[in-house]
Amino acid sequence: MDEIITILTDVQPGEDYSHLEGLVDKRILDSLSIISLVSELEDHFDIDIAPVDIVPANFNSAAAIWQLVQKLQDDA
Amino acid sequence: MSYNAPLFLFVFLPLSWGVTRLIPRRGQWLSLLLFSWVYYLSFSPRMLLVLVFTICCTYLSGLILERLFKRADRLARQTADRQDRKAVKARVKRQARLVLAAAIVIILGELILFKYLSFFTTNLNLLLSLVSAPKSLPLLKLGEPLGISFFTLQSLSYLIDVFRRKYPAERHWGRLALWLSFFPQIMEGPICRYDQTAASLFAGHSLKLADLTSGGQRIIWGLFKKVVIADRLNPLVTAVFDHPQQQAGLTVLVGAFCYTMQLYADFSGSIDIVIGSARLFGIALPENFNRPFFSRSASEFWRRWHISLGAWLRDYVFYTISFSHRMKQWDKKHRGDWLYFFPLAIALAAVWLCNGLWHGAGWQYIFFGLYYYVLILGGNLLEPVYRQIFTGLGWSRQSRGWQVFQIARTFLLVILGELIFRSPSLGQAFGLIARGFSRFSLTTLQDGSLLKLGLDKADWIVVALGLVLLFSVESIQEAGLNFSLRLSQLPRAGRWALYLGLIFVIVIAGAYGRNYGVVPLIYAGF
Repeated sequence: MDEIITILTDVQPGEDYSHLEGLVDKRILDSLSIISLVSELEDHFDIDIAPVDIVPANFNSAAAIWQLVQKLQDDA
Repeated sequence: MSYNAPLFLFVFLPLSWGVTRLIPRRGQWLSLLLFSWVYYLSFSPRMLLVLVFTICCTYLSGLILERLFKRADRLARQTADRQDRKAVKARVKRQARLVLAAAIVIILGELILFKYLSFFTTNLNLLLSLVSAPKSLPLLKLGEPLGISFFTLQSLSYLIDVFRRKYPAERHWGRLALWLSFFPQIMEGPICRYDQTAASLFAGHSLKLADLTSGGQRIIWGLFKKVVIADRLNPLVTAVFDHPQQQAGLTVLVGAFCYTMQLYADFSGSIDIVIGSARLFGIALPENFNRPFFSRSASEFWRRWHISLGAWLRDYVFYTISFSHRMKQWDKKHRGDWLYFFPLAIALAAVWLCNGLWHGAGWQYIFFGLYYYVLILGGNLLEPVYRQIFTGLGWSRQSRGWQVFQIARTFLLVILGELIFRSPSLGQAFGLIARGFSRFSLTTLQDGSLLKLGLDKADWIVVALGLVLLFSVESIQEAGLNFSLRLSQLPRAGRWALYLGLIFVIVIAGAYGRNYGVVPLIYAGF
């Protein structure tokens, strides 16, 4: 989970991601930062994030992103 | 037999509904499929073959993809090492990608053949004439199958989703055929996803009063928008855009405003009829509009206008490009420098080129897409600048005044976009824009020329009152009030008085009959 927060801070600095909700819904993460975030997550956790996984529910908080990463690691 | 035609509303829809309801739930899908094909046959018997070919191609390609993935899963289960498992999956994915590519070529090929061939041939001939080539290519006019822009996109979405393993391929041919042919949506959408509607279409539904009242309400409301507002505005819009040279500046701007209102009332009204018709059968179709004129930016506008097209382009064009391996590599290499936005710029360019071309084979549509591309890319790139300015000045971006300004600005940008969109050609679009801003004079309001464009005073009053009613209802909904729920809570007498009142308004104020030409559904032409 800490790794997710570090990646989020690298991609889009200036926010405290530990408890922040609605990252996509509130447009804290925009199109550009989502592209960077997906790329970083794939490299860091050795996973493939498919377009079907790119829905707001999977990126709205650090916890949701962590859940997605765990799911994709289990599927691999 | 458009959705607003008496033959559809008073004969075909009740007949198909009655017959389907008489059949046990398990067999209702077959009745819906047969009526869908009868509906299609009423437009073009020959073109039904194109639809059936698309269904067969989609069905078989889906099954081949599914078989490949099942084999990959079986092989992966037999392999203990994670890297070996990944290699097996990657190998099968490559094979599946080839199958998908072949299916896309066939289905897109159909669309190009029927919709864009004459546009491409004309432009190629123009190029050939520029290089003084002795021969030109013959123009083939094949005719456009009804709804081809809609069912081909549905078919592609299904195949890409199966490829992405969002859901397994459909084994029941009839189920897939009904999803691609369902008559209330084949002409104007919404462009549904397989996992959104296929199960509900196939399931069969028992008769529920709530479905009948909800469906009936939507149909009446849609007819009001189409017949009272959109069709009444048609003579003015036609006069302005068919004779652009004769118009004063203000007339052009009034024409662009009226066309924007006509298009919205026409398209959202027919989608109301579509959703209402499906609801009569107990089937819930997704919404295609969400009060777009309350949007604060061009990108928000496209999330609220023709939602199913925007979502399709996002999921199958934008994501495919922006999350491709090359773009991710680019992102890593250039993060922090000025080339960082390149993946976004490329993905958005593809989205807006497709959006423009989807609407029609013409340069004005491509320019329309380019117009929104510039607005939306500019908005994305300037977002950090806006953020800094507002933070620096201590202003709130959530203040009421700023929100009203944003809504008004977006509205004006949309009207300018529709001016390009409705123009008969790109040259005339530029001419109309120039005329709108260079020959602007308020005297047009006083000299009665606005009353010589096919709308008399009574027509203007009807349209104005219609728009006031439409936007009053939308303002209430935008404020968070559930209009349908409130309506259902009214005493029965009050509710029926409202329904009958609206039907009365449609009958009295609707633009139909001998003095009005039949106005086809605008989006059915795309």
